[in-house]
Amino acid sequence: MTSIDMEGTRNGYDIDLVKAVSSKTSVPVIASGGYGQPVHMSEALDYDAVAIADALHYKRTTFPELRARAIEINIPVREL
Amino acid sequence: MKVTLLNFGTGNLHSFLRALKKSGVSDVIVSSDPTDIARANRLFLPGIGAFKNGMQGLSERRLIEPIAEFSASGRPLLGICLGMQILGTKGFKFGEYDGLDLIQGQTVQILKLKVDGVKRIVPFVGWSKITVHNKTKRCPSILDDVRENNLIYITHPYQFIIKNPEDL
Repeated sequence: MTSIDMEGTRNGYDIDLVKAVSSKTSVPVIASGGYGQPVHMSEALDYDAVAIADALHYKRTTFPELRARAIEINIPVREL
Repeated sequence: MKVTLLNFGTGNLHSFLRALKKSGVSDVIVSSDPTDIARANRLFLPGIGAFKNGMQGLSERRLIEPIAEFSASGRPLLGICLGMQILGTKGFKFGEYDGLDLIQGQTVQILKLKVDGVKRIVPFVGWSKITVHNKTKRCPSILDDVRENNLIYITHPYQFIIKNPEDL
């Protein structure tokens, strides 16, 4: 579920949009567009999944950092 | 180790072969010939596809009886994904279909509500802990190296409901 409004802003996912969609369906919803810092991932993971693109492409964050953050908030991720 | 990988028309044969190779298995026969089943040391049923197509694939190639005989002989039989589902009594993907009935149980859709009424996201996609049941009494198993709390990546909208818990 990509929010065109939030995409590229680095101001966080459109949580209201994700909330509205995931309350109407039982299929997994992936929040997309707006990732700027790890707290944004934590907010959106209440709903199911997040997509992170350019923060990784342009090396503003790393998989180990995201993985450590996910473990902190009890989201199961790959063990390395 | 010698493995016979059964091709019944609906399998992820290529990824199965790569996984076997990575696990150090060099001697693999891919076959849809009933006589190869009779001669097999270990028989693997791959996955991917709908229950109906899987059973049709076995039936058209006259493989149902040979698999049952193989199983009765006590040699190791491994099914993955659809290959596991069709070992059961019935499958309910896109209709109701008979399976091989080697393990009593049914493959059904995961319910979208939990017992307590809380919504469940289906299909399940992600990393999850798995629990190995009846670990002490089982024969050597592919799960022997799984440690308590190991995370496994799982994607599934269906689940196998076993009739007799002691068969797990």
